Amino acid sequence: MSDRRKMLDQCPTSHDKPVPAGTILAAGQVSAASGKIYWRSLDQLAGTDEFKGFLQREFPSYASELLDGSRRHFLRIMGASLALAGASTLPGCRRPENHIIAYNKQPEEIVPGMPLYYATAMPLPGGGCEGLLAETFEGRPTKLEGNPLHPANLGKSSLASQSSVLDLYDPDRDPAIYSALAAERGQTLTATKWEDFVAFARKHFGAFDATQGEGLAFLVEKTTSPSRDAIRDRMLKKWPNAKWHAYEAVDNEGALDGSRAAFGAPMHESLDLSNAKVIVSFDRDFLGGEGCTLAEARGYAAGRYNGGTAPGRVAADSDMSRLYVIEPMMTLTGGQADHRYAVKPSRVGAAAAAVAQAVFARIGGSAPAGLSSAIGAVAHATAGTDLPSKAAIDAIADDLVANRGASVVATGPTQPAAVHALVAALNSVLGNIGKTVRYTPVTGDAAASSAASITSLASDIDGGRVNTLVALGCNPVYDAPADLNFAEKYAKIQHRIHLGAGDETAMASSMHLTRCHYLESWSDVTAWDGTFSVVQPMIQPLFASKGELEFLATIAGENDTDPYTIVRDTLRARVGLVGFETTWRRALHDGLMPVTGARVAPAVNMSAVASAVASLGESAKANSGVELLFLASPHVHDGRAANNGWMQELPHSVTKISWDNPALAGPATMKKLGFSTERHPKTQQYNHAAFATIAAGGKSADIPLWPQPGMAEGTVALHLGYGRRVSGRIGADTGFDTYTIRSSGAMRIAPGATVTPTAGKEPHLIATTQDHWTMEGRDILREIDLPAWKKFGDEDIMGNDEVQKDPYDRTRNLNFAGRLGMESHTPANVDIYTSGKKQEQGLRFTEEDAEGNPLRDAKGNIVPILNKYKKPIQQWGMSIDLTTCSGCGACTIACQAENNIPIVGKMELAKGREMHWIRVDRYYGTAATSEPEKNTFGVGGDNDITSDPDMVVMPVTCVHCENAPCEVVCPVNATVHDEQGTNNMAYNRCIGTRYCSNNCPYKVRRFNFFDYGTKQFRGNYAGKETLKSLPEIVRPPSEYFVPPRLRQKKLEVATMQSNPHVTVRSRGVMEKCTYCIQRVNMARVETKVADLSHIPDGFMQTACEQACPTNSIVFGDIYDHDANGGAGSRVKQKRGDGRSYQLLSFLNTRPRTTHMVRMRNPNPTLADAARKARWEQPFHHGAHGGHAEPAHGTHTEKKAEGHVMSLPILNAGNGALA
Amino acid sequence: MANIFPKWLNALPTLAAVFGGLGVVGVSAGYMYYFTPDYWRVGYEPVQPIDYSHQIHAGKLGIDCRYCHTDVEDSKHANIPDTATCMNCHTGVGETAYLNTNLWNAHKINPNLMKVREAYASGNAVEWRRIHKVPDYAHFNHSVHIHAGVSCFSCHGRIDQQAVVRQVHGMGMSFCLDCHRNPEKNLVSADDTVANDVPKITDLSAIEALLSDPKQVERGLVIAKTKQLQPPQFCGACHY
Repeated sequence: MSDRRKMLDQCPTSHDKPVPAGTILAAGQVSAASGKIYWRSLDQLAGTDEFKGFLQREFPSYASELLDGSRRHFLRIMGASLALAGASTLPGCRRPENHIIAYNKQPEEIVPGMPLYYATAMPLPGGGCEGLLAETFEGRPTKLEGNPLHPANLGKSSLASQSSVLDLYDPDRDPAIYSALAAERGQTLTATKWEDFVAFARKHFGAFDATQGEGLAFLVEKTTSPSRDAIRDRMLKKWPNAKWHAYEAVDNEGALDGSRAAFGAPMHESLDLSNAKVIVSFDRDFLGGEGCTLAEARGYAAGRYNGGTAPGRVAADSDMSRLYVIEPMMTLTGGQADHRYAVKPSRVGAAAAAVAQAVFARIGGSAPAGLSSAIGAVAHATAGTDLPSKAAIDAIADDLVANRGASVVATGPTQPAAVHALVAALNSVLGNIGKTVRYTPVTGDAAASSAASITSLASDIDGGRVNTLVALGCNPVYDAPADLNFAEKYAKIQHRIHLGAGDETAMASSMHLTRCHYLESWSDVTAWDGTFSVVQPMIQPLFASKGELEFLATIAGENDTDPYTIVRDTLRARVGLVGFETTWRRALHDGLMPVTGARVAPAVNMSAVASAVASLGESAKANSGVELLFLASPHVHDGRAANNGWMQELPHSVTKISWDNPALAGPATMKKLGFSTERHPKTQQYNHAAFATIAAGGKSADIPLWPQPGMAEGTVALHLGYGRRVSGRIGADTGFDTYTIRSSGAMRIAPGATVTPTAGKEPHLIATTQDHWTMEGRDILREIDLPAWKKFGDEDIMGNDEVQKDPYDRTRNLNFAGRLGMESHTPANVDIYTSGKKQEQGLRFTEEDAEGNPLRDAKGNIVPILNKYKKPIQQWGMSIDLTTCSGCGACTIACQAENNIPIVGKMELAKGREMHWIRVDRYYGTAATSEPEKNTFGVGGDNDITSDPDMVVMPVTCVHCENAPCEVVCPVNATVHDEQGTNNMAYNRCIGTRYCSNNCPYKVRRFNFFDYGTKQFRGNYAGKETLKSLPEIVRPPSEYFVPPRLRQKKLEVATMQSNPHVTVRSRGVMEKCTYCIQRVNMARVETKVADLSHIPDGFMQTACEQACPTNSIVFGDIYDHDANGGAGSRVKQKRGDGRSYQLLSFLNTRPRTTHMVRMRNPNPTLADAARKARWEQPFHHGAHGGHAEPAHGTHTEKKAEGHVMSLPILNAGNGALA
Repeated sequence: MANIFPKWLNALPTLAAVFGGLGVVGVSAGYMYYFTPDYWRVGYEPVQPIDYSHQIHAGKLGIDCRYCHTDVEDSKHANIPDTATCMNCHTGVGETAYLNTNLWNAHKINPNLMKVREAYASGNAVEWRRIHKVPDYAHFNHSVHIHAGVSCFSCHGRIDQQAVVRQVHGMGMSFCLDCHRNPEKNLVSADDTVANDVPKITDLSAIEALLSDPKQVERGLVIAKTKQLQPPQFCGACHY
């Protein structure tokens, strides 16, 4: 800790606590149930000061500093800005005059203040769509929800669609603004006026009629829009010599080419994981990566776990699918896996061949002979020690063969065609095609090869065969393969016409027009299962911009360029004139027109696969070099969402890094490459990554290298889409451009790369949340294997079992999950606040009265608090299932959109000031060995625990404690309970003492250190000119360092996204999850007006629940016993399940949000003896193996009251992190 | 040595205590009186762009509030009517469209009406001055109050007697809470169909008479019980 920090640090207990360097394991941190150590970062393992800062304090000490400079620095800036801005910004002493602008002619159906929902669809990159409902207030879309009717969504939505509404109100889309931004950087970027373009197009493109389009080329994004296809067909008919190139910077070519080989035609694969008992993924990240779809995540969650101990069910009947993942980089799917094997990208195919060989050996005669021998040859040629062990391959093959027709083998977009063909053959042999794996033929633009498109375009340009290039949406100057030198070639074209964002290609174009957001213009799109949707606009274009249909129709010189007419004409041509209006209105209303029969189950051409697979032998040979793996960013994709603040700020689901894309390599690989991975205190700058010079294919770039546990040896993963040179205020210069080292021959995997430390570059600050909000290693995470659950899940300890007596001879009522956790050690909870009188007044929510008798009705149901008419007041609660939660982060973004949560920027986030109400914690889990002192991290050693960890994700948000610790410390009663059991936050009362978050054991409260919500994110700060004239020593180094306090108010257009039902918080106010109380209150009003007695189960959903693609979040009335035909509300059923537990329940906080134990379903033949032993004895009590002995010594003694809360800390022994 | 301090100074501590105490009391009393919405907000009566008179329309002509404020039963807002609503009645041009010549003459020369017609024809919205406003962090919903049986009168007073609308209640938090704690003082039947023979919830003079009736509390309690009304008093009901 620096002296300055020490001075500012007002917490004496955190002063320079001795940190035993390299000490990792405190015995108390080993989870008895899973036998694992859970850790979040290398810094945690090393116990660095900075990690301890995040651990021990609500915010690290320097989070309270205003600037990274001195106090004098701050005062000078304040003074300067006030002097400059004072006169104009001083508030007047008069009452502000508010206006009400009424409609002139109020449109039918619009009720001011009430949302209207319209169906629309969001086209996805590369084709397909999500069906959405747009919530609009007075014509202003504020939030997108999944369309419950659309088969892709079924009411759920992804990160991409949730965040797309922010793009609509991105002020940087305004041609005037991006011109100004470019001018600030000394560049020129001006949009062409639409009228000028129309005049130009009429003249210019009309001339192509004579040459039939000679010299004309189009470079378009891949979509599945029937109307665009129709215009394309008409255009190419008129101009047969024109070239049409469909191009995506990040494409799924392996799958297309693989299906071409296997089926003779390009196919889109869709997995029905709900019926799969065994899933083997060869680097297919169907939960979080670019191949992921909502349907696959949903199906996976549905099939993953089937069981529980709700009424009528027993744990012994539970059933889980089993997931094997073979992948080079840790992904969300890999985190979900029961067995995960880290394998180099180029060697994943070898692993697939090994599995195929084992499968064919098992099914004997029914295996296709030609393919069998080809695979045998490949497997022989590619065998190696870096593949999964023989035992693992055999276990996978056994499972697959035993579950023929109910298994899935899948591979992802990073893998080459041969692997895709092999996987298709494997699915065919296993009888999965048509059952768990289905295909849709891909035609048109979506079937094109992007690499071929851009390469042939480049050669056409070189050959002088392109006179006019129309670039539609795409950004080739930024994202084309580096070896093509596309920017140079692009400049050679005479007429470069670009419709899209104000990006790199726009800058290089001779004519640039701004493209509409999809919510601003009519269009249409087809989903992968054939479902047709109209993309219905919600609002007139906010800026001077046009949709692609209108643009293309103008180029084609068509009579009708109105996109509405174009879309209608396309549909009319498809369904005919009869009843067209009905079809059209139905399609608009429902948001879709169902099309059946698009999915097929084609036969695999085994001999073609055999010849495709043969090529695998060479490429998948064992190699010791470094391989680069190019991945689309799960948030900004190929760079198109780079200016979306929500996407930039959402921490990467695995690395937990936001606002950046460092290269990722395993600590052991880094060490081998000559990078320091040591994280001992005071030797390493916290969260700084050293630069690496990464070279591949003759190009090189300097990118910081970040240690990422779970990476395959010799693999460096690079996320694409960052480091935009021309973008808006958020996207520009954020992260590093990795396209510069990607060449057309190695679009996904670049073997033979070199990675060396860059000399003379300061390490780069990485803003990561992985250490934020850590919880002292307490057992908030519970994980168990299925066999233990099946054996013990039905055993609730509800009686006077001697074992379950606490040190005060009180009985503990523990369910299965409770027996796994700390509750089994701690004294039973008693409600120290409840008196009989208070209970009557409805002030506390207990299941017991003052005497400890449960309050139950005749049926044994718990009676909730009654109102004065003796009717139950609804009691809200939430359940989060860790078994199915994939960790995608859709809940975080849905919450951000619903609750007006601001972004804070990289520098603020690095200080632990992020505002997300739901955080998704990511833990790595490593099996503890009996000799913990031998464990090391990242440096080889006897047991390098970072090389092959498990991963667990855990969403944590305000759990709405019934005995909330935050409430008792608030000096102004700003956070108090309501009669529905939710913890309210009255923003207008809050004076910003932050006592509440100091006292919150869950670290879920967020503080507005600055006016994040109302100020511009970057740029245009007050006193800018004055600051510029300051001497360098007191001048902030970049705009990032200017605190939001000094920035100007948000532009009006950016405020339009705000949900009018939620207050925009100002500086100095605490906030946290409210259980979407605005939605609860709306539902209360609606049910009251409709004279219903209560809000029925499922009538309202919280934003996170509504978005969650895996249905892991459930919200409702926890005492609604009558819902769902007497089974009780969904959340009540979940709370009754033996897997439900309350976080830190030994603190007696009584959280309303319960979590459900994370379960894995390991293959018994692959589980070691220690793991199997825990299936027989998973509980804390009696679990002597691997469990901290001293703990038993302390808790068996009778202790005086008052030590309850410190028991677990005592139990944890004297470890570094206790 | 001469006395430096005169004798009367001995009274200084007492005087200081008395005047200091008075000062504290005065400041507190002043604060409590002046720094409240009841002082600042009540009587706010801005000049509107169009001199529209509720006294004529709601009072003299007896037009139901909900004829113009159409969404009050459906939405959190009691919407300000669009210009087209004015034109439902005020479209007529020429003597024949009116009851008598005097009325037509009055309308013909009425500059306010000309403004409405101009706005309607041009499509420009009328920028009304907002009078009743709860702060952004407080959420009030009209529809649920109307359905519960809280009349317009309870918050807005006798709008039908106001030529220029002004705020009659401060609408501070205590104003809300008083009613949420004892709603019976303000509850009337929301079921105002003809058969039920109760005054319309928007009939402000009748409601005023009803609410000042000594039997109101009794009636209100019956209504509250029938509708199972227990207005929320927790923070999150309004502040979120």
